[in-house]
Formats: sequence, C-alpha cells, structure tokens
Amino acid sequence: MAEIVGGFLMPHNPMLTVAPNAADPSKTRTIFDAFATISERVKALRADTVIVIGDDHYTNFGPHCIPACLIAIGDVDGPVEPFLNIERGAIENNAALATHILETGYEQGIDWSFAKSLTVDHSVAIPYHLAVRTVPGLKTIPVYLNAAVAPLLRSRRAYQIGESIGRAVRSWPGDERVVVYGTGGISHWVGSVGMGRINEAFDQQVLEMFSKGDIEGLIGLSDETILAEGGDGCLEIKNWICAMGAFPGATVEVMDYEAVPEWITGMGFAQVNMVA
Amino acid sequence: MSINAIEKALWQVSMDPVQAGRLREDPESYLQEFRLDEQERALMTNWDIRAIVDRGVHPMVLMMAFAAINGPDMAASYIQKVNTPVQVAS
Repeated sequence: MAEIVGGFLMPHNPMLTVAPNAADPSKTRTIFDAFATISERVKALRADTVIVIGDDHYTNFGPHCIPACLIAIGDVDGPVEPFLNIERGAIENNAALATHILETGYEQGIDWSFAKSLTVDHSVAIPYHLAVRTVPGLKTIPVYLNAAVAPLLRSRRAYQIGESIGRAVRSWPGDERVVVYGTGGISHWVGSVGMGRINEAFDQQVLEMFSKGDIEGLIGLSDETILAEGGDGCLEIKNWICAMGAFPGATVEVMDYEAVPEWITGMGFAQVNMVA
Repeated sequence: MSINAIEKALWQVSMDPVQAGRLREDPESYLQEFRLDEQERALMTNWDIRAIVDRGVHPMVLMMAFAAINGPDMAASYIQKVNTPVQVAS
C-alpha cells in the first residue's frame, strides 16, 4: 500500500522569483534555506510523489467558473504567469494516484472538480520550483482549493478534503511514498486595502495553533477574523488546514518564520510531526 | 455596480495580452462589450483603484489586470493607489 511519509507547510509567494534580491539578505537566506531543507528532507524520506495544495488567485479560474476544490488528474505544466521568471515547462503528474484520490472522494462525498490539462499558477509553481524540482523523480499532484474568491471554501471542508486525500493514498495499492505540501499564507494583503501590511503577532498565533495541532481552533477562526488580522492572502491557511487533514492528530514543528516587508508577506515554514 | 461585469472585463485583460492591448489602446471600445454604466467605465478607464476596490471588485483580478496594462513594475504604484482613500467632495 502507498504511504504518506511526510508533510510540510510553506509559502508560495511569487516575489521569491519575481524579486529574489529585493529583501533583507539574512531573511532571504533563511527562506531559501528553508526550501532547501525541505528538499533534503523529502529526499531523505525517499518520497516519489508530492501532493501540492494551493489556491488559484482568480487567474486560471475566472468569473465563469470557480471550483471549490480541484485536482489535476492528467497533464500538468506551468507556470501560467509569464512574470514569474520561471520558464514554462512540463510538470510530471502521478495521474493514477490523482485519479484514485478523485474517485475515493466521489465515494466519500467530496465532489472534486478536475483538470485533465492544467497550467498551474504560482501557488503550485513556486513550491514546485523550490522544493519539488529539487528532488529528482518527485511527481506532483496539484490540488486547488478556493481560498480566494468569495463565497469561499469553508475551512472545515478544507480539512475534510485533506482527510479524504489521506484515506485515498493509504488505500492505494501502489507502493508510492507520498509527501503533502500545504502552501501559501501567512499574513499578507494581495491587491487589497492594507497591501504591504504584515501582522507578525497573528502569524505567530497561527503557527502556534498549527504547532499544537489545534485544528478545531484553526477551523474556528472565521474568514472575517482571518481577513481582518491576516489579510485576504492569509485565507490560504485553508490550504495548510487541508494538508493537516491527511495527518489526523498530528502536530507540526515550526522550521522558520520571517516577516518580509519587501515581499509584503509573513512567511512561515513547518514540518508535520508524523503520528506513529 | 456591475461587479461581475467588471471582474469579467478585468479577468480577460489579466489573462490575454490581446485584450490587455485593446484596453490600453482603446478603453472605450473594449469596455463597451461589458454591461457597465458610464460611471463604471470611467472608473476603469482612469484606473481608480481604491474606488473600484471599495465597490467590492475582487482585488486580485484588479491588480493582475493593472499589471497587464502597466507592466510588472507596477507594484509600488498599485500599493499607493489602493491604500489612498477616495477623497469625498465637500
């Protein structure tokens, strides 16, 4: 049976490749080192597939169709944004496992939308560029949650989707070793009033809740509270909550945190403590 | 406020350089394809960022469209615009 061997929470800030030299050098080093550390740990875990949980930014999905949750079960490439300074290229999927996750969800009440051919945006492309491409042979299953365009996916549902992903992987007859990345956050205001603000105190509160495995507390944070304290970009902790669903009862170890004004974001990294 | 129509107009611009070129060069012609009133067309033609956000238009698609029109170095200008409250005429 396939196994989930690790989980990580990380930012997907496009500024990392748009303006890599704009920030304080010491903070910059911390952040790029954190991605390198994740890459090394995923290598050591001998993982062969990563499920990257991100959210579209009203980019791929426009006013004509906003999926609540979507999984890519076929061809993947990216990034879709030309300004990321990342050359668009193919991203190898694990289509068989992705399809099994979808089918399992259908059996369990998760009505996935799906993409047969997806060009990912930065929410998958940045983690891919910094912590997937760096691990030879690692295949990518992109998952998109609607954490951006209201009416939003509920945080409890995000967690349930993660639980279903976990059950699907553990029931897959293949021998895959899977890691899960929850991406985005923490506080940042994306195009909205307040853009440029970072709320370090709120970020620390969020990290503390993840580190204790306080999922009910995180789900209990209303979208209004998150918007007020962490900005519209902070709603991406739904992606993190989803990732935690694949690790019932788990806590996390915070790896790093930096508030980076030049990149307009409070950026946190954590590793899931695997429950035996 | 025709939020849906504005978001559609912005989204097309953000994703399609041809549409971005049309809005840049002849906003009147581009915007007449959408169900907007005169005031809304004026807001978009003038890129009154804060006024558009205050009316409930999604800020991400607005920023992406603004970038498509003004180039990737627009961030400082956008931040200044979005954080400057609209002056109410006395």
